[in-house]
Amino acid sequence: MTEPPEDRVWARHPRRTGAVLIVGAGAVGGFVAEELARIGFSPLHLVDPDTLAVENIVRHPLGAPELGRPKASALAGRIRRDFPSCAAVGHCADFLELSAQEQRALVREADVVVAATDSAACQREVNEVALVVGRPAVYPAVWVDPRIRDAEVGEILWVLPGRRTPCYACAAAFRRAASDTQAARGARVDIQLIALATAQVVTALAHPGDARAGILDPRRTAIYLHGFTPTSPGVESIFPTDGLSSRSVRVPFPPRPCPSCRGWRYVASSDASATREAGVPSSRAAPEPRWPVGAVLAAVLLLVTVLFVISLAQGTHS
Amino acid sequence: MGAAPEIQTLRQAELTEEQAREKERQWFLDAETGEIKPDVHAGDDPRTRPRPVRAARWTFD
Repeated sequence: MTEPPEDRVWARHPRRTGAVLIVGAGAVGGFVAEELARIGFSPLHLVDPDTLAVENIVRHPLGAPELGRPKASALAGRIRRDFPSCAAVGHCADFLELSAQEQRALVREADVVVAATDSAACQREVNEVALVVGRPAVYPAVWVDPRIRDAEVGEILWVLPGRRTPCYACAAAFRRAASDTQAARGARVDIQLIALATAQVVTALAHPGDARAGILDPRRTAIYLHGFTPTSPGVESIFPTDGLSSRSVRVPFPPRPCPSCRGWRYVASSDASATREAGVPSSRAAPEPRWPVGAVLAAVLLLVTVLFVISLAQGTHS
Repeated sequence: MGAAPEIQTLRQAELTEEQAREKERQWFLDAETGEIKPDVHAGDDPRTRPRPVRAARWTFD
């Protein structure tokens, strides 16, 4: 097969390049991978231990011909075939079961890491490794809950290393139970919407000098998307209108040092540095973090009290 | 041929004052409780402040 000429492939859409590691090649990760290939990213490393099941095909980029095949390698093959300029590599493996060296090697080769798994433990592991190696990471997810309709809300957390933003563990302290991650219902269109938005976040992180990086605001590192479904009562206060909408939400550093990134509320990173690294215009920079006024006043009061007690004691002795 | 929609139709499609105000409101994620909460500003009426939204479970295989 003759490869299409590069100049024509990118004639209507300037290519954005970079290497991306995608952990989880399921419904979300699969569509993210396809979209990143269309944008121009290469190589793409896909990691997933599962094979494609019949139940997957209604919402996965792969179809019936790939049933029973490993998702990661089958999808990588499809991407290489459809987008020859993308060197996609599939790894049929559980990221959690890779050695520390293998995990770090995969992350080190990437400019941006995407964690799109259905395992809380795996999302946390990717977070740990990305922080150690120093790579930005993106965590797309879909809300599924009895109180809301299927796949109605998408969530994209993005993290810069070096405590420039809160990390995944800072944002997901409440997500510990495996029961919170059972595969559930979801419409393909909602998932694809999240995949498209995730690919734009990845592009912005990989190209902080690009105008597209303006979609990232280091003060608000959780992006919530509402799909085409009617708004459920459970979420209508965040999304007051029906239909497509997005909302960027602030993720504070935790009140105690985060076990993963060591960031905490009162000694957070400089937002100015986050702004600079993420390529966000300086006019959007948040003010420098300040010491809490109450703590400073309490320290001054304590000092005055101690000095007073010492002076009293000295007066008694003399 | 049908008549062109009257301007009133467009007005009805616009956000109400309350919807517009709520769209501007800032929210934050309380990672300990898993709730997304509205930022509180001085002068906010607690009776009309939106309730926190519980971040739901996620997945996809």
